Amino acid sequence: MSTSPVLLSVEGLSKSYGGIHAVRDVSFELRAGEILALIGPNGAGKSTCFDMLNGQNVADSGRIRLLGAETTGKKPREIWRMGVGRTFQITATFATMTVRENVQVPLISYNGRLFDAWSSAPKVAVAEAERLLELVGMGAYAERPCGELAYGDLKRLELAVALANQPKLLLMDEPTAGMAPRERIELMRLTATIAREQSIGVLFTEHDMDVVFEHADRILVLNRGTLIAQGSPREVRANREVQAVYLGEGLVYDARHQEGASA
Amino acid sequence: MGRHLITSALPYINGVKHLGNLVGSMLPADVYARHMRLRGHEVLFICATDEHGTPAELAAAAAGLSVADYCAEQHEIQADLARRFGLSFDHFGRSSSAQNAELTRHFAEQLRHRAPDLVVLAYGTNEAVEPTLSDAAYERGLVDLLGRVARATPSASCLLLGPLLGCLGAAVFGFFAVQLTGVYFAMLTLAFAQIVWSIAFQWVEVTGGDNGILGVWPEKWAASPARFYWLSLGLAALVVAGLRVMVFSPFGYALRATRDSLLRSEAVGINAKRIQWTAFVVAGTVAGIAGALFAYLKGSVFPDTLGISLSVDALVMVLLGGIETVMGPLVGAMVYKALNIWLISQTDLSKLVLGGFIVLIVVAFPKGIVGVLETLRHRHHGAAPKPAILTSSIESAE
Repeated sequence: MSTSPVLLSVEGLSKSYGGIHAVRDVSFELRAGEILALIGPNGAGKSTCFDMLNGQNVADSGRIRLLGAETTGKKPREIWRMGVGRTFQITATFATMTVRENVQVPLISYNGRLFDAWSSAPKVAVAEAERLLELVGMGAYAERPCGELAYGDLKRLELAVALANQPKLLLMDEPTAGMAPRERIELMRLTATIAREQSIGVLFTEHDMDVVFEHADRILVLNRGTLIAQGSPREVRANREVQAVYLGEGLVYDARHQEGASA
Repeated sequence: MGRHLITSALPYINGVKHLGNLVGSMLPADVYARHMRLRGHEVLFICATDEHGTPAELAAAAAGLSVADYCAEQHEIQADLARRFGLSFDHFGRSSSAQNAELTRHFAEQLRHRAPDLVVLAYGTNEAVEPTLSDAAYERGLVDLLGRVARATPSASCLLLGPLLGCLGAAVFGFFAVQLTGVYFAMLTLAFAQIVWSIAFQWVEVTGGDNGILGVWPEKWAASPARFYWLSLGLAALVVAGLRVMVFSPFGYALRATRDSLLRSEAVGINAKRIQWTAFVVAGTVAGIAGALFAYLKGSVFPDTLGISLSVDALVMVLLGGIETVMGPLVGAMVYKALNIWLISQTDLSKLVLGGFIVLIVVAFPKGIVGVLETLRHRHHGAAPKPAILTSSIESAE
């Protein structure tokens, strides 16, 4: 993993609202094919950090570089064009369109045909759209109106949409929020498989610690806007400060229990 | 049945005319007017005393009267003569009347656009007293005049100007409107309509203010009601077909995408404002075509056309017919107009009944008439769209 090229490089990212430091001097790197989790208690600055990465929020200071190119201050759609795919905490899809059309739209955008007013859109990028839907296991639902889908299926559709621009980096904001436990595991397995196969870097925020420890290669822990720890799940789990400020008694017990078992 | 406007040369005000004037000018026109009336045509036969020019002033001075008094007196004498000769004028007026000044301007406009079935030009031989006039020059003058009438200057064509102005207006207003979303976007478009209305209402020199712009008639080739009907229908069909192509084009998909989710659109590289601005300009251009046809249909256009009530009419047509469809607004427009006309003949409270009906339709069938028809069709084929199950598997998020 450490031999893969650095995809995303964040240096000294800061953001304040009034006198409150939402994010303070956060730095980290993300390599191709790596799955990185950004965790922290409510109000830790996860969302602010995430929004600065995807262009919905502008940092006060610091740099964000994607494969060496500066993304600081760019709009979300410009960052998308640089090869960043996104999924949202609450799914954002085109509700009146079919599942296939939902994937065709980003493909149309990716192919630079947004202002093509004369072609027949139902025939545009159909093969690629169906390939992506097959990839996330939604091939059978292509004709279904998006508004009819179950929530877990919407999440998988979002993943297909996020992959349409052949991204180098996937930003997933709470990818499993609102899903049934079994669906969570399936979605994260699918994400991990795609990321490894296509060498896509994944950064995700998550509340569910089972998901985090199961699927993340590395974990970043934010508390009150400051990065207090980063490392492998094992390192983070063992970190006293993390245990104290964030994980709480249950996991402290779990960690001690494991230490005791291995001794 | 044709409509015929007939006039004979206007007799000068200075003194009683000789018999040649009656025989050469008024009588032929009178005979012609009577003939056309007998054949069942609609005829307007008008004449007047010509009170303009030096002769009136010289004669008044000779009679020791003011021009106004002299003309009034002489007009009575000449009008009485015409009556006693039994000339069948529908109106024998005075060229000096205020109404005539207005009417002359109006007729000039009307004639230019109305493409009359017949124009009768009566001419006298007053020029005969001019010592230098030759037969050849006289003939040349007449040929030249006839040529000018035949060529009648084509007016600036509304069908070209309408879409162009609509396109430009939409480009300007749309630029500002797309900076906002939802209700604020809608309010801003209405505000722009109100601004344009107030400009039209107050810029009297150009728009005629409250009096509107009159005499807007189609070119001769499209003037007959049947031709104009087919022209309008053809243009409407063409535009709707074009819009349908657009709706199902990549651009149409992008537009639907920005409607469904701005967040997702932006996250897949769509510049929603530019997409919506483009759509706004297309809509403005199409509205320009509709506006030009509307002006031609009515022959006039008033500031009210720019008012909010017409915008609301269009909105009601869309809601009535069904949103998110191409056919919906068409069906909605037909039903709305037909209902409007029929209700006026049935009740004094037509607006109230119409409003109630629309509320009923919009509440009971939020997808409009076409939406209901599609649901029925699906049910008939046993493939009713399944109810949304969006929330069925959402757990409460921790």
